[in-house]
Amino acid sequence: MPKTLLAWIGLLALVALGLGTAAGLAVLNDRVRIVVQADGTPDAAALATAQLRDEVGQVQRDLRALADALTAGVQHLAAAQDEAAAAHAVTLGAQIQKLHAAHEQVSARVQGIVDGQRTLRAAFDDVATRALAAALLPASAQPHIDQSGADHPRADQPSDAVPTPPQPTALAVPVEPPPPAADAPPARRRSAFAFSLPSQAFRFDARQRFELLPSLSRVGFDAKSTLHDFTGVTSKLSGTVTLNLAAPGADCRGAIHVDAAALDTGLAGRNDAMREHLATAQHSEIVFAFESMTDVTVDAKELRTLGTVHGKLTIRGQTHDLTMQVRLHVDASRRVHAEGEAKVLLSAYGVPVPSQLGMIKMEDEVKIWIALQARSLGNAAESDR
Amino acid sequence: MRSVRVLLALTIALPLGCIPSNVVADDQRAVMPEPDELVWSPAEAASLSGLYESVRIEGEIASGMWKVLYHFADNGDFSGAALILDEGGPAFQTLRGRYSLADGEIRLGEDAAPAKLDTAPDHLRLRTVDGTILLRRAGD
Repeated sequence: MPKTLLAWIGLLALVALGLGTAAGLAVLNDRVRIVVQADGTPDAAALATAQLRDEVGQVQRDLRALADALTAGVQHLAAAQDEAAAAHAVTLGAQIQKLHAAHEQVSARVQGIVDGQRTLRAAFDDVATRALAAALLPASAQPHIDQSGADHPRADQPSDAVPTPPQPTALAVPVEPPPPAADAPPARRRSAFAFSLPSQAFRFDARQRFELLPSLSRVGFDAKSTLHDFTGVTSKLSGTVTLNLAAPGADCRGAIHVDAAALDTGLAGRNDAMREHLATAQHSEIVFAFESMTDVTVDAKELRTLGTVHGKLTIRGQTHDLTMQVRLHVDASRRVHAEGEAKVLLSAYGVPVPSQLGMIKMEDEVKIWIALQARSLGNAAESDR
Repeated sequence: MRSVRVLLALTIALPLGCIPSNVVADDQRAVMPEPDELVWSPAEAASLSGLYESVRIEGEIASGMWKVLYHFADNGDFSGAALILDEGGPAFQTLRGRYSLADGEIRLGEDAAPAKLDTAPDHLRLRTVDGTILLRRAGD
């Protein structure tokens, strides 16, 4: 009996164990996954981490390459900017120099205009004063307006006289004294050549005084004779000319003085004969004094002037009117070149026409010519008119 | 008598006939400047030393500056004299200072503007916007 009971208990235990196992499998079936893999293989998290690390490394390399490329690009851009800046600086420098030159020219012109205005204003004040005084006073009572100032002590000179204050009168006319700057010398400028140059530059359109340069000038004559023609020439000359190259007109003044005995025809014997005929011992100079210029053509851009000079020519002490076509131009050294020629009759000036036994003789008409160079001495004074 | 005159005339005419005409052509009347055949190159400091005188002045400065001399020393000193047209007429100005040379430009004085400087055998040429001075060596 006990054996049978034990058998039944054992059987029931086996059945209960089987049921318990089945129930447990049913409960855990959705919650447990069993993976079968070989030993040493990384899990999914490790794989994901490794993949992420690779991607981050790639991104870092890309960023480094991008940074290198950016650096090179920036350097290239900076170099290009430097080159452009240097080229721009050169261009600006040249433009500044041009502007500087233009500014100086304009300044010189403005100074000339200002000086002219001051002179005109002083002259106008003078005329107005005189006119007003003449209108208000009888001739016997007109005040003397002293332009020289000789009766008045200068401010920089001592005077023993007790200064008398000016008495106001009904006729007192206030005369504004000319500004001192009008008489002041023009400002000087320091050049790149280290010297101080006068600010007053050569001007084609201003009335200026010119000095002939003998070493760069020649005058002469061309003569014809029965057998051959010849020229007499000399550089022994002197003279000054005053004119406005842009408007010579009636303000053209000056004279050329030529040493008659210095004329050289190339033959000593002929020179001796010429001096005899010109009576150089008594009349040492041939003089051409000019007084005006007509038929003027001016090319201000090329600094050229053409015209007919009217004046008087003196040979052997005899003076006659002479007209000469003259070409004037200014060269790069600011020298004025004057070239011209005219025909004269020797007999008109009392010069015996050379002749040998009436068969070999020189023609009475000779062509005189000038090839002069002159340099400016600055603006002409009023006294040069 | 007539034959004597003819003989005399021939006697005079024969030697005179041997003399050629010497009429100066129209374009040869003026005094012509010497042609400038110099070959210029940018200046170097070693080539400056010496005394120079102007042989040509061109440009705006030419109206006020008639003649100029410069002396350049090896140690950088220079001295100059120029005949300048002043209010009372031409007058000499003299000066001295130090010059410097760089990139083909010379500064005559520490505060002076630079001038282009070219050289040719025994010659210097200074150039600015105001003009050009051509100088010839006149001594050591």
